[in-house]
Amino acid sequence: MAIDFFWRLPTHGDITTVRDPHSTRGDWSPLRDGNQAPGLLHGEPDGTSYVDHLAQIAKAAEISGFQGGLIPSFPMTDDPWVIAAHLARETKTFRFMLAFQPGFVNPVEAARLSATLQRVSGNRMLFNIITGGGGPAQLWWGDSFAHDDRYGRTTEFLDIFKGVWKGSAPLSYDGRFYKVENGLLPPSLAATDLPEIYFSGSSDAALASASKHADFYLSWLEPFDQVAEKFARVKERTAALGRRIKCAIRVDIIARPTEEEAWADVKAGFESLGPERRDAFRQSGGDSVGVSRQAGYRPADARRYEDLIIAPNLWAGFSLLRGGPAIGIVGSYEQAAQKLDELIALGADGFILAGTPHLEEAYRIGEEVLPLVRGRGQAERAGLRAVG
Amino acid sequence: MSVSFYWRLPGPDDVRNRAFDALAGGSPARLPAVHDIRNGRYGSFDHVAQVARAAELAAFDGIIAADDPGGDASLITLGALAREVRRVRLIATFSPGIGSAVYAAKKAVSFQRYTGNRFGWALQSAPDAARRRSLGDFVTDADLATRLEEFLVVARGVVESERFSYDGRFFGVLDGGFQGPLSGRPFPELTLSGDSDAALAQSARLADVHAFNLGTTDLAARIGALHAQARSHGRTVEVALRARIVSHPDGQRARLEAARAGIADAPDLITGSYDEVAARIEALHGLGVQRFELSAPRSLDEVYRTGEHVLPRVRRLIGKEAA
Ligand SMILES: Cc1cc2nc3c(=O)[nH]c(=O)nc-3n(C[C@H](O)[C@H](O)[C@H](O)COP(=O)(O)O)c2cc1C
Repeated sequence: MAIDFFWRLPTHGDITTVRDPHSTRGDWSPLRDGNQAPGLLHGEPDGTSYVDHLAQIAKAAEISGFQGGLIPSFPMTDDPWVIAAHLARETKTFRFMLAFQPGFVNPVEAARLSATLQRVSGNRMLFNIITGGGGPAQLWWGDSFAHDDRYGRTTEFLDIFKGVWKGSAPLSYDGRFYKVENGLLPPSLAATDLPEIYFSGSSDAALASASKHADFYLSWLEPFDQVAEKFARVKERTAALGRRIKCAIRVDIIARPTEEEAWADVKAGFESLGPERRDAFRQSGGDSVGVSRQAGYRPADARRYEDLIIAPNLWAGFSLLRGGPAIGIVGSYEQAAQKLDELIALGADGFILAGTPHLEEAYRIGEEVLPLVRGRGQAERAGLRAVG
Repeated sequence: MSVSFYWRLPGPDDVRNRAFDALAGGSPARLPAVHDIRNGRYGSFDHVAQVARAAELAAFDGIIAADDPGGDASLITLGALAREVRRVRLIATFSPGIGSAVYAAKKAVSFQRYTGNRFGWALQSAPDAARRRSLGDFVTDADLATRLEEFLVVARGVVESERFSYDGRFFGVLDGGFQGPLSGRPFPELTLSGDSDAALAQSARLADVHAFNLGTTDLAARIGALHAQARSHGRTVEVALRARIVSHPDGQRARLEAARAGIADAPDLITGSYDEVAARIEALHGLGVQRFELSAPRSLDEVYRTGEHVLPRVRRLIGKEAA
């Protein structure tokens, strides 16, 4: 079976080179040499905005073989629904994977928004259902529910979301977090496809919810033995409910014509940070199990970039170079493709890839790496085995 | 006193919208002699987009997407239109029952960033409690006003300050507030509506624009009451009027078309020849209406007719009156 490859839209600026994380595109950093801040031409408003840059990336991704892209949502980012709606008519095949915390829109309204997006885009939306990392960021959003309650709410949300969309009769539902009385989408909206559901979260509560509702279980990259263990656990829990689930990995890639060039870029990026290296990923006071699994590598304490090489072609310092998880793939085009094949052999059915900068790297990965991925069956026949 | 014109986009009550939805649904071809290659490629959004663009080309000031439970969600419709219309203002109608106020405010800020601050909100909840419950909103009639007000306090708080906390009955936030490039954006222009004393009192305190329906009894007095209350809060509120319009070079033909659409006797209808319709609009403007929110049973045709023939007449009449 073919593998689903997605790219990513960076929703709070786009670093222009891994060699210098301070140079960015987008108005999150001031306009200066090396930065491009859309909206300003010689310092004056020119009618463009950051969404014009996102449109460029989305087009690059769809042209170079990605199904679409993940649109992350954090306090400092633009909003994924607004981005997807703006780009729906400017793209042809790009599928919009909205990162969404179910607590933030009531499920019937969310179904109306989603179905409208399906109508406008020709069924090109899907979800990455996230449930939030707790702590101050959760309260910033106005959400004070505890970790496991949030997952209970996610489950109820998806019960209702699917029920009012594809139910044969109006739905009445009386949950702990949500209620509905005789809810049903109108026929013109209900006729669209239910969005596919990718689901993120590493805790037990996450797996309980994912096993009931997700089409794909999505994980950040972890050491391969842990990935294998995680996928096995998810599949087992889902099978216990008489359902099937696929698995996907969200991972950054630095791929270059040779491995030396790839590591040279990592080294330059690492050294450009100076002594004030900060792990952008370590959150204060959160409750996310997934985040603490990643933070275990303590990349901010490393003295040399080599200290963070945890396996051949796996580097655990990505969270120093940009916001996001720690572990990513570094190597030649062939090595990057081989890592993807190893993950496929471990059960990955899909990937959300990203690279810096997102526009040029969408082409590079699409042109140089994706063609080298052998995929299911072929990878196994070639005797590829995952190594920790 | 200036006057502006907004067009309300067609929804599921529009004949052409319904026809396009049927087409998208792959319903059997109704063109027996035509080699039809559309293959479900078009839906009602294609029609809505043409109407929006028409409003821009025909010199309207803005477009309004309604919140019709039988139709599309306004926030998505306007997001998709925002790239196709570059000048007109975009007003999204939705209910404060949609969910988190912070999240709604975040969407508004992205809209402002992407559209050059052209985005506005028209907030209203379904007046019927059973309808609200079918949308997953169990707020009581008695609590509607409080919920709306809290929604606005929180949304405005996080848009207008970088550190904001609030702990209300419906919404709460701790150390919220948008930062970096998400900060400093104007809060969306706020339209509220309704005819009751309570609705006017609420608009006087909170709204930038208050929309009445044409047909409101004693409109002039209601407008006066709104202004008086707003003044007592040291504020001004712009008066908008929602009306349906059917015009034609020949007034008889306009009335015939309105009758065919089944709205000949509707209290919110303005119909007649271009001169008649313009005179009616000018008279309403004389009562204090500053903004007209118009819609029509044949949206695309009427937005052009109104833009090309009626609005120039209205502007001339108002210019004379001012001179
Ligand atoms: C692939 C992936 C993508 C994520 N994207 C987001 C995001 O865009 N916004 C966000 O607030 N959290 C995001 N998260 C974090 C989740 O909201 C959540 O904090 C995490 O999964 C906590 O769940 P856990 O305790 O079950 O691990 C993401 C997590 C994963 C695995």
